[in-house]
Amino acid sequence: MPLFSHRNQMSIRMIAFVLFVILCWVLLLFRLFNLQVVENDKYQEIVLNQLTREVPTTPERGKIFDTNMNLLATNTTVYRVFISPKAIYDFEEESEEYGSGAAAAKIANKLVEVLGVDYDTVIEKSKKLNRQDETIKKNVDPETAEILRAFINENGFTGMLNLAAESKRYYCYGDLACHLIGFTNADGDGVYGVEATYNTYLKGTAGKYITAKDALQKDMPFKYESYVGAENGANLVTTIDMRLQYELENQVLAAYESAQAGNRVCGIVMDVNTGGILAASVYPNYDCNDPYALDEEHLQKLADSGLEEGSDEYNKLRTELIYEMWNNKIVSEPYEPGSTFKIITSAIALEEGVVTPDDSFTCRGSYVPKGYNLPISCHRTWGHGTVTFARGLQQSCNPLMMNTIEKIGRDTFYKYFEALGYTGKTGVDLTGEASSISLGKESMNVVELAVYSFGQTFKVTPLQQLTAICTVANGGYLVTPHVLKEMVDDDGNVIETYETNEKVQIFSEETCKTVTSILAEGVATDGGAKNAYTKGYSVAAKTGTSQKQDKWVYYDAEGNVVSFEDEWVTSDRPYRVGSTVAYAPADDPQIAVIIIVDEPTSGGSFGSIVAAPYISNFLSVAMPYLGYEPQYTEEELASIDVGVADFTGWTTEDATLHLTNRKLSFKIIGGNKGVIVAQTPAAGSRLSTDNGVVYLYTGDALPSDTVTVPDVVGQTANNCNKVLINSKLNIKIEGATNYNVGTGAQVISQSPEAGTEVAPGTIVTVEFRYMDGTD
Amino acid sequence: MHGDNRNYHYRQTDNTARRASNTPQKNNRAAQNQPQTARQQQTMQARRTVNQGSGNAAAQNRRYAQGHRAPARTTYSVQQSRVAQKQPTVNSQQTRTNMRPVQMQKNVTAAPAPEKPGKIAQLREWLKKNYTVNKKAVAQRELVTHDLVREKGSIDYVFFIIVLILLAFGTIMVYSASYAYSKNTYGDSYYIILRQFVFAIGGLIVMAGVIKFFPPEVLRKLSVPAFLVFLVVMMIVPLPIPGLTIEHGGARRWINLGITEIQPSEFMKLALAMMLAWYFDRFYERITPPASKLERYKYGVFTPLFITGVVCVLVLLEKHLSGTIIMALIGVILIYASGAPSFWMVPGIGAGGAILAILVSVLPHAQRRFDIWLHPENDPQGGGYQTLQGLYAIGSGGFFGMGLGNSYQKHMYVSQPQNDFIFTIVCEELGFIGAIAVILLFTLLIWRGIVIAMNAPDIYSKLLVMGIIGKIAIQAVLNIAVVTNSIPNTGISLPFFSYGGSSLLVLLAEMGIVLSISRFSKQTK
Repeated sequence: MPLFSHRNQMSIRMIAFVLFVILCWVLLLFRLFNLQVVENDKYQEIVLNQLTREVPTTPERGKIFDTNMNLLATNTTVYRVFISPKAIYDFEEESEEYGSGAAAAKIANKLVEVLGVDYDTVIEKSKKLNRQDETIKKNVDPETAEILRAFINENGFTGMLNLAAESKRYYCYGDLACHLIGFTNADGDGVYGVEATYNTYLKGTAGKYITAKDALQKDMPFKYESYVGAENGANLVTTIDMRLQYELENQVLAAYESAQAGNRVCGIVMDVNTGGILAASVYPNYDCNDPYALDEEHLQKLADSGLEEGSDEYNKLRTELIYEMWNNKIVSEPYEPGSTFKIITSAIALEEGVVTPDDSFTCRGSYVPKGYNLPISCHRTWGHGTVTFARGLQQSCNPLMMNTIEKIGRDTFYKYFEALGYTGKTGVDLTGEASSISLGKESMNVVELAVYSFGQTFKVTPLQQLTAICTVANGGYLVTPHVLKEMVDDDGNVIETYETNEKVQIFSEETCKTVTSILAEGVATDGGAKNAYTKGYSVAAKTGTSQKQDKWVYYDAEGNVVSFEDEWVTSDRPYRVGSTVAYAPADDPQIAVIIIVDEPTSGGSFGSIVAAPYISNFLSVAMPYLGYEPQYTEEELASIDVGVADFTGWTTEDATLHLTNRKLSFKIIGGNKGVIVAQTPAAGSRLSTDNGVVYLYTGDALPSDTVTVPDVVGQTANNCNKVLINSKLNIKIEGATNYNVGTGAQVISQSPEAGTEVAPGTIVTVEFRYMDGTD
Repeated sequence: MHGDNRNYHYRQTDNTARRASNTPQKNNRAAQNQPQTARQQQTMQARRTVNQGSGNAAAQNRRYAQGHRAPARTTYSVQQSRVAQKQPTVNSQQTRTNMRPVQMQKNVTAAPAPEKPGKIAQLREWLKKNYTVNKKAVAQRELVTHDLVREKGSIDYVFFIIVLILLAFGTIMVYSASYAYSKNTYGDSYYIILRQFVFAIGGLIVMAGVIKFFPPEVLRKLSVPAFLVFLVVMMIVPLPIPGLTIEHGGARRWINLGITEIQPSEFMKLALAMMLAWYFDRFYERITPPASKLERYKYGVFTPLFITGVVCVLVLLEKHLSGTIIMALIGVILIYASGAPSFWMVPGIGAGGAILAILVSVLPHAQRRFDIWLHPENDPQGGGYQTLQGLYAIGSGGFFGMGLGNSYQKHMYVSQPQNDFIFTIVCEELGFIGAIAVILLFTLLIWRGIVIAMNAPDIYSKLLVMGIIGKIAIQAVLNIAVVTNSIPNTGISLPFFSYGGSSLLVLLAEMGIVLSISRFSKQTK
């Protein structure tokens, strides 16, 4: 008997089948549970990985502004032009219009026309058939790229000729403040200057753009996209003042050209109260937009080296020169400050009360420090005679300083020396700051102490020196020099402000006032820094000429280098560094300036000659710009410059009245009655009320007869005046406008040149400079 | 009760009668058993007779003798409904069913040869005797057990609703899964779903038509011709006849009908189920006790296996392995369900496994497929690609899924996600919950289908429903097993879900058959 009655067997088997199917389902559900619930994370990750493409989005690098929010550095879009040889080949294979190589030739021709590249190079690149990407040119500007884009669309060369947009750092003023701003490398990271110091802030945070692609690499519907926004870098507002920077660079360049400096010229302008660097310049400089290009001077050096182009030595030298060009002299190259350090010595002495400004001292041209058996000479070898301390400082007397520092004593001196930051670094926010080179307190003995008093045998960076001077200028407080003012976001909100350290007072305000007034007096009168005199402003300045103990050269009596012998044995004098520091206005100093001419080779090697005039030039522009009204002395007021009106069409009576009111002399040629038809100098010129003469022509008289410009270069101020006035010429004085306070002022240049035939009354611009400076 | 399976139209003669008969039913069981033993004896006798006489008529007679049929006592009636009155087919049906005994009678009279009068006399006597006995037995059973009189009722609404839910679910999933593929391939996201939708609507119409016009009796008559026709078509398909047979991907499985391409093997699955159902119905007595073991094997196992084998060979010629497997399994399931001896299945499946193992070790193609199954990650871009992407889709779905329409993997990662691998997208979008829902729906469908089969009026109907439900169950189980990499990959579509117009039409036609049969279920009302 079967287990079940047979009529039920079919139903039973059917149910058995259902149960079997359910068993299968249960097994499959286990499998599904394992896949979907247990291993879900694993599979989700796999799916997301194969699905998503992460495209990093680069944040925009922060912009750099000057203190008045003028844009200094920003970003621009440039294009990389590249061809795809493979695509071109495929196109030519398929196209009926273009035969083999025809499309490549057409593209090459266009590229030659638009980009100015070499035709053969392009053709050669187009023959690398396995390549997808052959760069033709980088950094193509958007306008040019647009032309190429039109060409691509016109001919259907999409994919064959390509444009890839890239972001590039752009420095709005090229080389302006290049040593402060620095530049970025190919990766977009700052390499020098604040670009490097604040690189992390400028960079911002990279975002990412996640796109979902299907298996055919097509974009999926937008709902699968996600975007993690890049956070743009912080914008830097620097302490740089573009206007001051521009002017400083002008003066540094002028100083460089005048002195033919062998080791560059640098200048710094600092806010004495905050330590903010308003301007800083090193010349020769470089273009931030193209930092690898050597300037002419360095190219010349490279050419002079005689090395074969492309050789290892050549490339090595080239690299060295590039690094030298990039080298930020103001923080990286310590120098011997020379007599500018006497400000510090004097301030310490006054602060310690070891001297008073009226103490007298007799300089006999040299001084034997106590405990030493040899005399150390003054720069004025015949001596300054008996002078007060104040005058000794103004005249930059070395023996006085040696005497003073003896009074101060080593330990006290070193305490100040250290406190002023001469022994370390300033902590400026610039790259490549070097430490000063100086002796420790213990190894400083009598001779070292003596020469330290006038800033020799130790080296500090220009910035260090100016920072110390600022201490004296601002009433005794040590500041930290810095370039960053604040960081702002794209909406202008301040993110971070530069935090200055707690101010440490080193000198009393009284000491500072005393030193400042001594220096200002020296500038205004017959001090060593009188070339720094700035008309209308009271300037405290001190020149300095140091000798490079490690590099020797032969200077002639006038300070010109006559021999470049490096061997100290065959030369008898070291290279010099001429410098001048100044701060103004003297009654409430706001800015401090230093200009350092390293290794001047012509036109005198003293700081008073190579640097001080440019300080004066700078201040005469900077002070009005900073909002200081010129305060003329009575003497100055007497010879104030007055603008010349356009007298054409005026009656002589009117002109006479006008000119008399303005205290200007004049001559009328062609009859006293009538209408003026011509004049010399031209309207808008400025003439001194002192000796200016306006020549007016009436009737038929014309300035036909001419006078010859005499040669006045090298003459003293008084002679120059006489000669020019006698020649019926007007005079315009530049440079040492205080030419009459001393006797050493000379004409160092004139314009127009001697021998030029000009109309009477033409203004001859002469530049005076005190050439009697010896320090 | 299978003895009465041939009678389609039963009607409860009288509710009171049924109630009255309920009580004596138990008592009469014993009485029922009594003639059963007698019937057995008669059967043995009849078989001998059949062996001597001409086959068909004798077999018919034997059946009557067994009491399988009681034409004289059967009440053929039509439910008194408006529809029934309007429909002439109902009358013809009635006629058709009435014809049977007449036909039998004719055969019976025609069959005996006059040469052997002794035997004819013997047969006549046997017939007379048995007819009487039979009449009595049937009459007795009518009274005792058949309190139900069947008539054409309504379709099985539970099954119908499950079908509709699955169809709607499947269509929605085809839309979701095909969206990206369709856009990429045809440039129109709606290309595939529109076609699928049209076929779904068409399929529902076909289903309605089948329910209406194809009662089991009609299907039964169609079984053998349909099978033979498709057998011929299946023979044509592998032949390269231009304009008629079509080759896709190196396999010839399609026939061009001008309007559309059809895959005859899809129809063959149904035809095979119909054929086997017909066969088992026809030779039912020979495969069930008290038939001899040998006879049972001969008629119940070897012959249907042969029929199935022929079909399998033809499908294999199309290089259609999955089709072959499904055909074979339909055959096996029907053999099993028919009540044929099933102990052979254990060694039989063992032998099949051995053959498979040998094939795997010998055929490089099969070897490769086997390797991919075990280590799809070794060839992620080649052979393992689809399997891996399917697994990624399933696995990334999680418990609740990505949400309908939010699949990532359908974006060309799973290639042709609307086809065989659509379940992976269901899993990804609807999660484990969605997978359970699909499996639950299939289980409900299968269960309800089996209930219909169990309640079906005769063996043919039972086995046909079983074949259809079995086919769906096989495909669903194998498809989900394939996409979960539980078995080696072979192209099996998921019924109701996978995209495919003609297969959806066939599927809904099959559902129509099941529903049509459900109208004739034993009813308790």
